[in-house]
Parts: sequence; structure tokens; C-alpha cells
Amino acid sequence: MPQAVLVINKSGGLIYHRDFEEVEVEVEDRNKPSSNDLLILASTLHSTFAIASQLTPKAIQLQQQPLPNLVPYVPMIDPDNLVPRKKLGSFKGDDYFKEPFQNWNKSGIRSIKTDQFTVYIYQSLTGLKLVAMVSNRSDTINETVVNNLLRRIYCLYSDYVMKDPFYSLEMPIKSELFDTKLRNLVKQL
Amino acid sequence: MAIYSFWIFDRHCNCIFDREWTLSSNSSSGTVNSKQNEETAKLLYGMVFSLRSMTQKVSSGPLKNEIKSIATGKYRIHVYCTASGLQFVLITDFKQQSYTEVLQYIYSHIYVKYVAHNLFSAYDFADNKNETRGQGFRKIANRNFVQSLESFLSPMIVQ
Amino acid sequence: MSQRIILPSTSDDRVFNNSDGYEYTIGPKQSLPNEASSQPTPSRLYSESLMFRKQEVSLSAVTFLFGEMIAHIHNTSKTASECEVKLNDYGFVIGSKLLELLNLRASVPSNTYLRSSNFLSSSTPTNTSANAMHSGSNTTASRTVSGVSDIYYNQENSAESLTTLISSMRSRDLTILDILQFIHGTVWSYLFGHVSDDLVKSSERENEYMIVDNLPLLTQFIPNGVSCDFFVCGIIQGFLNNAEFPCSVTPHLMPLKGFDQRVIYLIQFDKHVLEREGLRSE
Repeated sequence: MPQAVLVINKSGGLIYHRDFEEVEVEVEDRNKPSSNDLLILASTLHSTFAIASQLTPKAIQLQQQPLPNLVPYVPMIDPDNLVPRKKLGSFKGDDYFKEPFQNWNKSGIRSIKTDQFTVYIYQSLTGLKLVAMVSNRSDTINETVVNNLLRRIYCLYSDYVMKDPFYSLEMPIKSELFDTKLRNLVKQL
Repeated sequence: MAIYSFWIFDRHCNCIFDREWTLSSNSSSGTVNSKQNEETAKLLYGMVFSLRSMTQKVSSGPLKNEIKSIATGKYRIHVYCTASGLQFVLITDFKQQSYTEVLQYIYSHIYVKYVAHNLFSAYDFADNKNETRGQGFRKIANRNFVQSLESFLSPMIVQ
Repeated sequence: MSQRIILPSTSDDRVFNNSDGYEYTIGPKQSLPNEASSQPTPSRLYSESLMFRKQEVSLSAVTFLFGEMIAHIHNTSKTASECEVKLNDYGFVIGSKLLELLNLRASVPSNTYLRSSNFLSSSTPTNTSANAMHSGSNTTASRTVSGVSDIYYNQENSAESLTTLISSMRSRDLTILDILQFIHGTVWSYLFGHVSDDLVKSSERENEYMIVDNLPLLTQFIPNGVSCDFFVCGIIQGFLNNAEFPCSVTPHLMPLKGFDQRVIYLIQFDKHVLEREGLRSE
């Protein structure tokens, strides 16, 4: 289970943030980042994301070889409501997608590994960034799994945020539906 | 496994050593301490610096949360920070997860041996004490250091 | 008989004979008596839209359109109640029209549909597949339906409208229960692709009935979107009012475990509807 999920809009503003408390961690142990810290975090990620493509080593630029870019599909089974599977918004079938997908994040930062956690970034074609912070203690979660999770969150975003007539673009997401659906999704992990 | 470039930054945010390989088939290709790489070095340092300060801010517990690596779809940046504020940065292909031991070895067996233990080498690479803006600094041009670094890294360059 | 006023610079006879449009070389044509009395060619346009056919519309497209509608109403209204009234009015028009359309469709005898089942297994597979391709779908359900429409097309050659299929119109729903059943089943299936999840009579008040939808199709992506359900209320109300069951309909959010967005449409009939109902049962 990731520690936190963030959504950053295409101009670097933090529009959604959700913390996930792990049971085994004492609450006092974690000094929670303030909302201001998170805003800085979002804009830092956004700006360094752009720098990363500038830093492409010359050896790669000379190669001109297409790099593998396909993320394999990882099914997420929810033991609680396997039968009957609930309807997934405007998506047909029992999962949001079922095939390997292209990673649209070609030259930007995909992950940042630190001593305590790893930050994964999924970017949509429109420049929306979905960020997951995963503790290094959970060894089952790797980049492929997180990419699958973030792509599903993007699907949720397209349903429960984009189809909300009261939501104005680029603004903070306040939709409770998005929040609950996201939490249910993360619980499946 | 492929290595694209190697950088050392001092505690004044200056790049005191850089080495870039341009051909993965040829370990002697590329540049050492090149002028052209100055801008790249600044970008690289800026990125690592801001990400470092960010990850330390959101870390939990008393321990410092140091950044280990940054991955993109094309390459991976490995970072190793020493207690004296030096940063060793290695840019490799994105497949290999951890180069921490390699960087640690470079620090303890090559940098310490040929630079820190060298009486004739500068102790601080800034020209004067107030140096903060990259105006005056020296680069590591120590022949022994470059040679042994070269011989250590060259087997990893070839893919 | 028309005379050639100008001799055209062509020797092609078709210029004079087999033309349908206006001929500048001949000038305005007098309508011949036998032409005027002939039957106009039947157009499929009118009758085709009356025919039931399984069609799938993208849910995203519908919700985007609905969302824009809500946003527009939201921007042009001053108060929340004004918003609800406007939404209700939009739905009302749709409901009134649905009453006519769905009653007509329900009058098409079901054996016409049944004939299509032997049509599918019969010896004209080329026709079926052509039709299935024509309707742009290859699910079994829509193949059955396209079979129906094929019969319909065949019949159309002799007669032009759906009315020939109807031997007797469906009798009007006269009791509250009948018409609510119709809404619960037929109207809901038409609008949302499934029957409504429940139809309940209030235990407290005589004139109150409830239609339950566990997941409202249109407002499922809208947080706190229960006020947007006034649109569906308008449809129900328009349907019932035009069927001479005056009533008012309001949506209420009643979450159940597993169905966070369960909505109840509360229908309150006017007093005289109940009185009429009482007279009938006497």
C-alpha cells in the first residue's frame, strides 16, 4: 500500500493529496509534512521533471534507438467484491483496462528512490502527473504495479473528476466520490 | 549495464570533476572536465539538490532521508552523498537498480586515496572562502585519480 | 408533351428522357395526371425512429453532455431551487414524449419479435449478417433486433409504417400500480438499460410511492449530485402528468451498504388521483 497519492496539474499545482496510514507505523514516529511542504514538493517534482529531459546523456542521444516503453498489465483482484464485480463507472468489463500500455512518461522522471521510500510518477498525455509514494518496506510493490495502480487512478480521475459539472479545471479536487473510489482502489493493493 | 557519465560536486555546489562517455563501445571516448558540460552540471546539481531537500522534508523519523537514485524512461541517476558534503553522481542506463556500492568504492578507494590523502592536492576546491556562486573553483585534474577511476569504471561502460 | 425549345449540342438521348431533375432545355414540367395521383414513396425516416432497436450510446458522452447541461443551468440560475425547477422542466418535456413513444412501441405485438427468432435460424443467413453489419453491431441481442427490423423492412415494401404491425393499441394504464409498473420496467429500461431496482409503496402515506435506483446512471460521477436527479424526477413527473396522474416527484439520497449513491424517487400523487382510484375499485 502506498503511503500517499498526489495529483499534480499541468502547471505544477497540487490538486489532490491523500495519505494512507499504515497500521504498523506509530503515528508519532512520522512527522507529517505540512500542506505548504506538499505544495513545494509538487512544484519541485514538476520543475525537476522538465529538467530531467535536458539531462539525457549524449550517448543515448547518439544511439537513436527506441527504448522499451510498454508496461505490462497487472490485474488487481479485490477479494471482497470479486463476485459480483461492481460496475466501474463508464468502463466496460471487470477492469479498467486489460492490456499492456504505453508509458507516456518518456523523458521525465519516473521514480525517485530514497532511503525510506520511493516516489513514482505517472504522466498523462495532457501533462497531468499522478504521484505515489511507496515505502521501501513493502517489497511486493514495484514500478510495474505502481504504474498499473496510477493508470487506474487516472481512469478514476477521468470519470469522477472530469465528469463532475461543478469541477473547474486545474483546481483542487474536492470530489468525495473520487476520494472514496481511490481509497477502495488502493485497498485492493 | 552501461555508464554514461560520472560527476563529483563539492559542498559549494560546484562541479569539481566530470567525465562523460559518448560511445558505449569505446571506454576511452568522451570528455574529462569539459567546458561544454558546465551547464549540464548546473542542471544536474540543481535537480539533485532540490529533490534532496524535498525528500528530506517529507521523511519520517530522525534519520536523514538521502536520495539514492532518480529514474527516467531513458537513464538513471545514482547519487551518493558523503558526510563532508561531497556528492558523487553516476548516470547509467535505467535497468540497474543500485550503484551505491560502486559509488561508495569510488569515494573510499579512489577519491580518498588519490585526492584526500594527496598532500599536494587542494583541500577545498573553491578558490577562496566566500566562494558560493561558482565563480572560482578548481577541478580535480589529478592524473592518478583519473587513471584509477578510468580503470575501475571502464569494464562497466561496455554494454 | 414538351417541345424542344433549344437544340442542345449533344446527340445523347438520355438528356431528354431519363432525367429526374429540372431540365433547363425543356423548362418547367407539367405534372401529369397519373403522376399526381400516385402514392408518395414512403419515407423510412418517420417510422424508423419509432421502431425499437438496441442502440448503445457511450456513457461518457452522455454524462459529459449531462454535465454541461447542469453547468449551464447552474450558471444561469440564481438559487438552488431555480436550478432544480429548470432541470425538472427539461425532464418534464422528455417524459411527456416518452409516454407516447413507449406506449406505441409496447403496442407492437411481441410475436413480431418472436418471428425473428426463427429468422435467425432460417435459411437466409446472408441477409441477417448484412443487416447486422448495417446496424454496426455484432452482439447476439442486437442481431435479434436487426432480424426484427429486417422483417419490418420487408413489410415496408408493401406498407410504409409501423402502424401496420400494430393490430390493437396497448390499453391505457388506468391504475397507479399499472403505470408505475410501466415506469419501473419499460421506461427505466428505455432510459437506463435496466429495470429500476425497486418499486415500493410508502407504509406511512397513502399517496406516496418510491422508485429506487441503486446507481443513478446520469449523476453517478457527480459528488453530492442528488439535486441533479431532479432531471429524472422531471421525466417521471412529465410521464405521469400526461397520463393523467398528476403528482410531484423528488429525489432523496438513501445510501445502503455497498450502494453509496442509492437514490429514491419519491412520487406524491395528488389527492384526486387516489379518489379516482377509490371510485374505480368500488
